[in-house]
Amino acid sequence: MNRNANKGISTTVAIIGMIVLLTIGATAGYYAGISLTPSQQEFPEDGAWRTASITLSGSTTVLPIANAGSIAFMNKYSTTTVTVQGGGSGVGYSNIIDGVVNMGMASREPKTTEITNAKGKSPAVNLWLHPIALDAVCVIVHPSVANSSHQLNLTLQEVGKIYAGIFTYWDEVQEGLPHQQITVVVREPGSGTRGTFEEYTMDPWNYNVTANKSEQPGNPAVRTRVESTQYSIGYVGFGFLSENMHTVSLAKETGKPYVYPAVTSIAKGEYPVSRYLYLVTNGQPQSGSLTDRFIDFVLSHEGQQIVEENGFLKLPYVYP
Amino acid sequence: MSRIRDPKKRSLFLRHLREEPIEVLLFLCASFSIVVLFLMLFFITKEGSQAFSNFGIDLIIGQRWETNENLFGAFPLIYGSIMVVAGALVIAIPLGVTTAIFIAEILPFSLRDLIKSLIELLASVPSIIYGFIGVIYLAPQISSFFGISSGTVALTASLVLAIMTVPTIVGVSGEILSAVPKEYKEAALALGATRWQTIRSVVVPIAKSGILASIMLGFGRAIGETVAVLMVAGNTAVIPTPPWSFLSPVYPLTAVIAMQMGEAAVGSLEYSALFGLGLILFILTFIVNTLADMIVKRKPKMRSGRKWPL
Repeated sequence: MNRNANKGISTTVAIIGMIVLLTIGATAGYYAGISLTPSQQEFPEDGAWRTASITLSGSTTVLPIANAGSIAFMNKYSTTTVTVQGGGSGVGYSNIIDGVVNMGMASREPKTTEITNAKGKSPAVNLWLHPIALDAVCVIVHPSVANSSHQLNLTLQEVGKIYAGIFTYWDEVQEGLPHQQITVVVREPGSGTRGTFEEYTMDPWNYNVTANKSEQPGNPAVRTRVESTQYSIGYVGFGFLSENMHTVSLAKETGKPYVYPAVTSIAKGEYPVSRYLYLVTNGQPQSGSLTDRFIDFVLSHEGQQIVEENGFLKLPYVYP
Repeated sequence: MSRIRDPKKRSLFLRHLREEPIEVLLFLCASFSIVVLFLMLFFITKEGSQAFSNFGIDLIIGQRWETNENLFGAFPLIYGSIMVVAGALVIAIPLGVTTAIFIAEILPFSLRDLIKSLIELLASVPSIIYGFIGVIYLAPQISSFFGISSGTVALTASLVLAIMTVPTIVGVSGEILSAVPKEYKEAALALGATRWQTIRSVVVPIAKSGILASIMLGFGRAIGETVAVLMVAGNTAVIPTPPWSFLSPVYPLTAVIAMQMGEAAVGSLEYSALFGLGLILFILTFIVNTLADMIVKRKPKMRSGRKWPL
């Protein structure tokens, strides 16, 4: 006892202690991981919706709408909490499938892999898409390529060829364009905007995206990139157009008219790359729950007003 | 307890009884970080090795990283990471070491603390601020200076990383340099050496291993930096042509993981591929940090019987 009083813990005790702690930590981690699956999570929406809180995540295209919508909603019902995050449509689907959010936001329909993942969960996740706005994917270029005095007109296939790396210099695309290398800007792989864009410009001809492209996270990042990089091309949602870039008029194929993205041309279906924006839930939201009420709010007159204010289009049947 | 009759032995026993729980508590606190480290290592290895069983060596030597087409060749990404870090170190090492020498040896005592804390301030700035400055200010400057269409290239990322690495190098090197015993410097000066000769021939050789360790730590910091490179590196998953061109965009490992992890469904192919990248990063950092530790611990070789010259 006299000898051990000042020696502290013996080596054997320390090592055994570490191993025990490691095992405890590993087991705790294992069970914590299991509890993250959707079946265990409860979202407090039944009945007491007024004090509930929900989280949305996903598409950066839907994000401004959801953000403004959540602020307006919380102003109206001040005891609720609606939290909105970005990440891209891929993140939205992945999060709703994993059960970590109440609603996903998406600017594209789910990929087959996402549907398979959803069905493979136990219990299976049932992806319900609620359209909340009409949008168009617009192709933008830096003003060094074309500007308001010389409108750039391209067909979907020509845009696809640029993105596939078949055209590498601007003068290969069209006469009169500068002899400069094209800087191709894309979104991250799960992006809804990217998915819609490639569906219209590349999939019909089985083009694959060139490796020589710059990946940017989110609509605002693509916009900044194209605005600040000469001879660059990119794509953003309709609500992200600005004066510091040039918007391309697209034609479905050669011979068809080139359409400039505007509220009228998109609403009438003349613009070739239009799409719906969605809120995604796991199954039908329980009637009267906060999720249900928030979706109703976005679809209401006030909510659709917010959609318009953010540069997107109301759902067609809302138009008089 | 009533068995121990001898009052001296009894008070020792009581003292031991008080000490033990405190020691155990301290032990738990200390082991917390070690346990967390090992658990993280297990987790990353478990998920990352799934990638290697899915893709094999192709994960490291494959030339094409295209998630939508299920191509997971990380070679351009690894190249991008190493290239950007190498560029950063080329700038940060001379800058950092000379600054550390200046602060430790030449700067008057009164200013030493002030300058040291200012440099440490550089280290405490959140890295996203550096990324922000890089995108808004540095990239356009580089684009117009070199006449290239886009300023978000490997050079910009290296510059931003260099600014973040310098405080690490200055901090650790400065400590080592200050720890050189005064007697050696005084002996050199007494023998008639000038200040610079003292620094060059006495102080720096003694501090050499410590300076090397600080460089390794700087490497670790730079290769793990995510947000800043995400914003300025250009995010193009190709090896520049020519391979040494810093005026081309690259896609460092950390940026890929940050961009693509969010939408990778748990357990999917891309999820395991990204964890494979994480494992590669972890191993690289671990090797470098271990080397740094080994070098620091190594005592400078001394000729028998004499303390200096070393």
